[in-house]
Amino acid sequence: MKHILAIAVLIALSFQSCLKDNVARKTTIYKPVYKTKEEVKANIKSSTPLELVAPGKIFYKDGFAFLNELYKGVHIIDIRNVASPKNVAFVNIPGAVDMAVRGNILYADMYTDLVAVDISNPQQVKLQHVVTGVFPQRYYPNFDNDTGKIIVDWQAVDTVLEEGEYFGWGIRREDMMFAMPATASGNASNGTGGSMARFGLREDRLYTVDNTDLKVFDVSVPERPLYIRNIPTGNWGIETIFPFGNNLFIGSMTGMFIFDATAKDQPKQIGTFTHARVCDPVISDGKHAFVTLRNGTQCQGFINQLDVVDIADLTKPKLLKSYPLTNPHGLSKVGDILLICDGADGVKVFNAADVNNIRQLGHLKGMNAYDAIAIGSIAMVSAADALYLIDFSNPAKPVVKSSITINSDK
Amino acid sequence: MIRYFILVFFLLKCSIGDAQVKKLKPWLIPEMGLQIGATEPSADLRLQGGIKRQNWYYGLGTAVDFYRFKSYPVYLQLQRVFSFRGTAPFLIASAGYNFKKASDTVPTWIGSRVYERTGGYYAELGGGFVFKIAKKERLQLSVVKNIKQVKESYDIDYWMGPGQNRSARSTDLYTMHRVAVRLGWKF
Repeated sequence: MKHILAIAVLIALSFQSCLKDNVARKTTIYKPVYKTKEEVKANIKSSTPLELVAPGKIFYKDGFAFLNELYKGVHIIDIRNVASPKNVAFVNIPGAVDMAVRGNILYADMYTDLVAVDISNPQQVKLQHVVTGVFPQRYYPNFDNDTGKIIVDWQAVDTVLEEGEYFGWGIRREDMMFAMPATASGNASNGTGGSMARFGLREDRLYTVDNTDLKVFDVSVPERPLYIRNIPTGNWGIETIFPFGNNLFIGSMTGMFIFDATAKDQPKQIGTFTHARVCDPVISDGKHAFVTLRNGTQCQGFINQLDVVDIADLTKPKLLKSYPLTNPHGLSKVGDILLICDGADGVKVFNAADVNNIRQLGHLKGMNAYDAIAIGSIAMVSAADALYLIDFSNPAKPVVKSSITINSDK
Repeated sequence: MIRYFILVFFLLKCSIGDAQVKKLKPWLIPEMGLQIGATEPSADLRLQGGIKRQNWYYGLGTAVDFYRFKSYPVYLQLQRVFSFRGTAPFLIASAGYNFKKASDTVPTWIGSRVYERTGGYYAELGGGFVFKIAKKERLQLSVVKNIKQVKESYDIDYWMGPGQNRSARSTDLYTMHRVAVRLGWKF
């Protein structure tokens, strides 16, 4: 019997070398398509108007809407005639996600760089200046260590990989920290951004936020932006910035942070309003801050609501009241009228004269609304299917005056 | 894998002539075993039955296999015993399908991912010894090399930068090569 057991063990051990679990993965990976920086710079110019395909953030300046086409550039749309907006030009800026306009200069991110583009003539824009390497978080160390190259597109490749091989060129979302969109400025000379912006203009300074940091640029000479400094906020999950008065209101996944920008090159955090972990664009009218909280794939959390925060004492912001919503994104306020993009539930118009009793006046359904900028009684709303111009002069009955359709099938 | 099926086929073919002319007897064997592979060892429980013709055992088996992914192989089995006196050596071969139908939702940093799992082939080849413990009862000790497959599908979301996500359907085919040491009670 002992011999038999010994033989059995020997046979088992003899198989040891072929004991393995093979894994064959059949998947689609994304391969970056590179261009050199020089090639990309040479291509920053106007083209004929292009269709809206994957639009991002919005910006408004002097009768023109600026709409980011994710990672491609910026659409310039003449909306002076609200009933008949005209797509006038497209500015090629690979990697562009955020933007702001001061005077005749468009600022946008080009992956790790900030570019300043003269848009005096939208049909013939001119690259004025590039501030290199100021957005290092937009650098993809997994891909190519040559910082002289820029990813201009992604190519899908179907492949089979054996276990141990490098599984894919893209970055798996759950493997990394990141953040979402935003923009804003309360200064008319600087143009107006949406509440989802990461670029904000205040006087002659451009402030930008990334996942953790606040950056300051001197744009007193608009065509020649000068990088001043990076200010770590000590927080993470930062999503939006909204300059108002002397302050910067920064929205993050965990709360709203108020920075005093009186010393404009050295903003200092003076107040914090924390909440559950959700996405939260923020705007302010000086007395109150309006924060929309939403859940979602990137945002986690289980809250969808508007928080009204008393900022009479900026160092101690206090929650006044919360209002339930469906899936709120961007928001904008003109006088007592508050517009909220409530995701798939459309755009809602509120009377916010009494912040303790904010009442819904109107509701425009049938659009998946993302962000809004209110100019007078007209709202520019970016939605999943179109850029809408909405007349809310009668807040109870907001009406779509016109729209430019997004061709997301392209 | 193909060699397992070929072997089972030829063993069946060369033994079927005898079975047609001689008396058939039923048999049943519950077994428990230890699966040793590249990851943590685990157990399997099996039940096989069929008919016996002289030194040949033809059977159908089913199992619960806990190795890495709990699954349910169903297989045809053929066994050749070389003697019936006391302790007898034998060879065994099985081939079939490893049934698996499940979906798991696993939390990730940004939410969750759903894994959908299905089965694949199952096969084994090995040998051992049969020990007579009573007139019609035997203990069976075997060592077999065996393979099972599980297919796992899920969506991978890639993040190429703010607002630019892409999704890809991925399928991982696991082919697990193990050795099983088993003890069964044959009657």
